[in-house]
Amino acid sequence: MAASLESIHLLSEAAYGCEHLAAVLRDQNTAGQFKSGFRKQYDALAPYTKPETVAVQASGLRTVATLKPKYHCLTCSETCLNAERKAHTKKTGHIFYMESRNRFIFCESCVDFIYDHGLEKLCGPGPQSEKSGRWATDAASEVYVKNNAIKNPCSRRGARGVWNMGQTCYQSVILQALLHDPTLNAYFLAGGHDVHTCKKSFCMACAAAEVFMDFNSGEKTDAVSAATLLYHGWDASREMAGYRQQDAHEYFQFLVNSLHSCTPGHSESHGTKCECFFHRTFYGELRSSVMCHKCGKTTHTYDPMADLSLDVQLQNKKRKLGRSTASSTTATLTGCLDSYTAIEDLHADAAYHCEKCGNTPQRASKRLQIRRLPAILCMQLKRYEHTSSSSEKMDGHIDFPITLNMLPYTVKKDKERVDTSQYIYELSTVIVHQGTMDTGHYYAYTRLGGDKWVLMDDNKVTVASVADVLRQNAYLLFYSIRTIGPENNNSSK
Amino acid sequence: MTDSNAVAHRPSYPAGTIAKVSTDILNETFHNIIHDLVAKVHREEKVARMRSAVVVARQRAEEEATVPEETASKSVTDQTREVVIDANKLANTRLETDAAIFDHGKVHLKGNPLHTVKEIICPDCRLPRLSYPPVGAGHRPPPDPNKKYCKNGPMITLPGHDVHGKLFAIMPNPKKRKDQKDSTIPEIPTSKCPICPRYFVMNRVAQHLDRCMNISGRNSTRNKTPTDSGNSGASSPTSSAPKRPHENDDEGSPSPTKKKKLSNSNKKGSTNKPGPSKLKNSFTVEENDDDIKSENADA
Repeated sequence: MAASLESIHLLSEAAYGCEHLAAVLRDQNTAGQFKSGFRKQYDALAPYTKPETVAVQASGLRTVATLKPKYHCLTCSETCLNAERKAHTKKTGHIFYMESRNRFIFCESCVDFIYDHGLEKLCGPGPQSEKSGRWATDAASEVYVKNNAIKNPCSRRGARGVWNMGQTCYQSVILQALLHDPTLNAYFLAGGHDVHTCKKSFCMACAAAEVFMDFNSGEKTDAVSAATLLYHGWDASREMAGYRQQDAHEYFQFLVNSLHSCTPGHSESHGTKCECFFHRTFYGELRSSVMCHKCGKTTHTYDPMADLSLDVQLQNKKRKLGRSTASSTTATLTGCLDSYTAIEDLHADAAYHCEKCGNTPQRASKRLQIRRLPAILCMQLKRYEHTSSSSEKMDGHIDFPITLNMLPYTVKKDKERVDTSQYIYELSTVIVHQGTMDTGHYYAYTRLGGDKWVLMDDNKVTVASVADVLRQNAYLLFYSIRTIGPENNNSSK
Repeated sequence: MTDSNAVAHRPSYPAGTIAKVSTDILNETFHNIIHDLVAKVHREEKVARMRSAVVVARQRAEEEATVPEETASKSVTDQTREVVIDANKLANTRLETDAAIFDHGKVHLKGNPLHTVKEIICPDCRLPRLSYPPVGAGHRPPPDPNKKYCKNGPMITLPGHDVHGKLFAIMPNPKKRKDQKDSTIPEIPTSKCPICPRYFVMNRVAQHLDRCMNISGRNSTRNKTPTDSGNSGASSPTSSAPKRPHENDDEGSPSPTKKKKLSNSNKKGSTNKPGPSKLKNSFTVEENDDDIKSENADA
């Protein structure tokens, strides 16, 4: 499957990025050297965190001449600015450079950036990428693939709504968040859940697979129906059932959980780690550490997490008390994450009993941190205010970024040198709730890839700009990981 | 830092001052932001043109290598798109276009595709791709109105229409006969209930399902359904499509009393309903199959 898809895509790629690069890469002798130089420079320019000890090192403050992009010669190790490049080429004859910000290759003979498909494939994580010879690329097999492959006709992919069946917008928005995820699409479309052999009655995964297949089928542009999924969901859960409005966040948890329990090979017990696809995709792991103030002993407990529920109110209250930093004048998602992972004092009268101190109640501090991040990260902004008498919904904007670095909220130590690009998440869906606590309407802003965003209001699909998206009073945010690194690449299979 | 100063000429500060450092940092940060934006667009555009150059060259080469018997009856093969290509011939073809060279199955670029390629070709359907939407905001007429373009064109922004340029679906009006209806306005389709054989307009399915699954406590519909299967529920009150003025349930924010209202209107029932057989016609076999499956599972 992957082989044929790969070779179809290869058919539309040029052999080399430009004529000058072709001259270098065609020659076996120069090609190897060039590739290793490229790979080395690529890794060197990766956005690593600077360990704090190094940042304040011996020689004191380093003078940086400029912040502008630099061009690293790929033949020698010379670093030039845009203006100095020409002189370097004249002097040495080296024509290829790597630009420091995006790590694109610049060819001085073309006087332009060049994009070489083969070299970009080398950039993937890990050293396994060299196996290009695995898929035969000779003309005969090309033709064979071309004649035998069935291609989907072109369409505006993903720009389809989901029908509201009457107060089911909670389901529509969650489906929209999932239907555009490449990992889930690959899973369902490649038969990750075999609908034909599945014996389970009222199987949620079968119903979900049906929606995914319908959503991706051919040239259709109208909305898809998720009636079977609704039916099976109602059958599975009393809480979710019935002609009434539901909380989208609860539905998301319910859906992920039931997809997991419909997957062959899943494990229900808490002792063993479940290795099913949905667990690997949606579940991360939280570490909660409690430190006793008396003896300093820290105990860790680990819990699976399907999403992060962030307290919006907490941040507001802190700001009122003047405890949070002065810079945060508006509520932000990163601020919520900061307070979520901040150290919290447990009072002495709270029921923490330190084992080491003879099981006596002690003052302690607690901290939540993320130990493992999921590929799809759902975050809920808790917009309710519960008082003893009533619950109220809190409107108001909370700033959220389009790319999010999750590294600061993980258990990674500051001293470690980490490639931050492994922790970068891209916003994929924003779900907005309009109305009051008890009644209202959900709609979703979904990314179709690149900078293309659409507003999915049930069956109505309209164009949205990035600015529109970021302006919303979000309720649920879905982020997906940008690159699947060596640590979590098993989730992509 | 007055605005007029900054606009008129870039202020220069003596080296080593905080002012100098901060303006430098600010200027270079802006430079970098613009740099990254331009680099992103450049990459998208250049890669699209590279692919276009490759696709055009490859297509030419394939035409050259097409098995001759097929070329004789080309009018037929073009329609069915079943062109048989001589693999050996293709492997030995060498061919040049303005932007690329096809050589032994590989395509090499010739010059900079930003200069040599004028039109973006979709690598999948090999049709040219429009750069601007044909209607709506920012529209421009297609360069050649008679030409076929890739269906994955720019999205359309037009009030009352979706990104495909289609009008939003409306509730089907059961009073109008099929031939009286405006075919340009799509109607909300119907869907078969996953349990019983009745068809409902899409935004009524949940309401019916609630009754059909006996969730809200009202009984009887589920037991009745098998007998109804022949004439698709002409008698049951739940099968009706109530003709209330506000058809779209979740439009805007419904009042908290809505639920009550709905159930009331159901009890009364309405006599007008769409002809079931006609609605059934709009259904595909596939969906019926799935429903049958779930029915079996249910039984």
